[in-house]
Amino acid sequence: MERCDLGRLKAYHDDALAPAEREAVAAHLIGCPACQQALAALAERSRGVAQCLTTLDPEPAAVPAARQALARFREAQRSHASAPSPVRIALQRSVTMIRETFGNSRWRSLAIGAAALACLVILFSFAPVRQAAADFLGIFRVRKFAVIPIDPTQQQKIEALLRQAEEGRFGAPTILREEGEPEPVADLAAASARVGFAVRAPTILPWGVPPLSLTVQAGPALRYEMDRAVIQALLEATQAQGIKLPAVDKITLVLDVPYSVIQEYGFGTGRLTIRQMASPQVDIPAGVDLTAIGEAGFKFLGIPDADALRLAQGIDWTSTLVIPLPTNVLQYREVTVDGVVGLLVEHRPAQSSRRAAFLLWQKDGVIYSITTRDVDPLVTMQVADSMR
Amino acid sequence: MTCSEVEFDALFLAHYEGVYRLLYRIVGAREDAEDLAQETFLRLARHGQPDQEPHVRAWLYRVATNLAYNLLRSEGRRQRRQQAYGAANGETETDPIEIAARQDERAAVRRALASLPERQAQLLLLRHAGLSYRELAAVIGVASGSVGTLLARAEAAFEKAYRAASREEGGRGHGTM
Repeated sequence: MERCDLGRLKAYHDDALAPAEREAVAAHLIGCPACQQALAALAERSRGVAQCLTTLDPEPAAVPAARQALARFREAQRSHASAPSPVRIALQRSVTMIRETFGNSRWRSLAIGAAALACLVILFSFAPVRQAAADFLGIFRVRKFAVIPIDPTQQQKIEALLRQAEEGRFGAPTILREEGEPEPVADLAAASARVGFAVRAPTILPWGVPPLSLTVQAGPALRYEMDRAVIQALLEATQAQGIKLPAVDKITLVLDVPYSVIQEYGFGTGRLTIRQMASPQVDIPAGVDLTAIGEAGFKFLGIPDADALRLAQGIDWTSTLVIPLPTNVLQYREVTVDGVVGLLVEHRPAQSSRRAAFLLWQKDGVIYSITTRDVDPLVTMQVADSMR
Repeated sequence: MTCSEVEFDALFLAHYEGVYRLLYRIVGAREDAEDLAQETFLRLARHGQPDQEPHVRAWLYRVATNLAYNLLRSEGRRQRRQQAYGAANGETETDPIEIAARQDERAAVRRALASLPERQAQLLLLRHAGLSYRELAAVIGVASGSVGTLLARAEAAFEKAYRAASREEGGRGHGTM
């Protein structure tokens, strides 16, 4: 060592030098009292720092066992990746986009509940058809959202119906296009090219971090054909009254869910996922009385007859997605976001600081959702307002 | 780099405890440290370790410290906001260890670390976690010949900050420095 060098002394002290360099430092030290002193000071300071940092160590008993942690990790991965049936995928993805919202099982069941009403809307649309089914004139596109508060009993009813649907009681759909895997894309321009609309991104991100991932995902397309026996089964299952069966052998519905773009942000335990997609489309046979379907759906949910009719008449069924929310565990409110009226749903358990929220709005034919965990709703709204 | 499930499990078992300890030192709460450790390995599973980073431990520790500091930043904002609005929403969790006997000293150490530039604090924590000079160089993106100098500076800065923090504790800090 030709001159005194604190960094090299430190490396010498930490035994991080190659053998030749180490020997050179040792030789220099013999003839350099200043470096000897500096080395002693370095050693003393390193000891002190190590002692201080050791106070931050967890108690040995408090360190989770790696094997158990691995088991939890695998379990979390499995529950995240467990593949629902194509029907459920299509219905959930197509109409609510809520599935992505909620990591834990309670939220997942709520998302299923939401999808179930969508399922009802679609399935009920078979009932009052009065003319040939191949005529697809009515088109449902999501423009607005409406919330129907439900209690746990009603939620169970919806889930029971959905289970029957999954078991094939109401027939099985023909998959025209499988739901794709999320595929990474390089940037927003590439994403826009894939989805066919201008993908937006937030300009305000409180954590100042780039997205963990930017992906596009193809939605499924399916065709649902129902004959009279299937429709009869559906009517029985939902105890729908006063709905006349169509005078045709078979009715066909087509559901097409377009590409969506997913931007995922993370910061510690916090998660913020922005999903955007053009409205999914349901081709509805001509002549369907959507108000009557909606009314039957509300009655199925246990809403008194008079209210069901009034509610159903107050909704534009060609453009409104109805979301049933269990208000015993969720709070919701309408908010102004991105210049339009949106829906903010919050889950705030009393005993935990963990909370989740879901913000949903529609603008210029594109549906946006932001799902969060451990993020202040005010921050979520700021992020939404900054979409450019 | 992508790896099979068997390889991944081996990496998880080999490095989980180290990652957890590192995270715990930074965030000081078990639940957060566990969440962040899971998140760290999730990223390894999802994206794999980049080819240009041959030291898997260094990669894991870098991701973990970044996640932890992101959390601290968002926590800081949350606390400041709560103060600004005078809100007591019952969400602040009390770490039981923080009320144990060495609370003052821990507080002083944390405050000293927090007052350092983030890279210096990270360097000290990662060295304390056992990373070699070569691994540290990979994490912070410098030549390994510079690590000694950076560490020496970081330790000196910590010493100074810790003394100040101990004084703020009203002389209650029991550090030996």
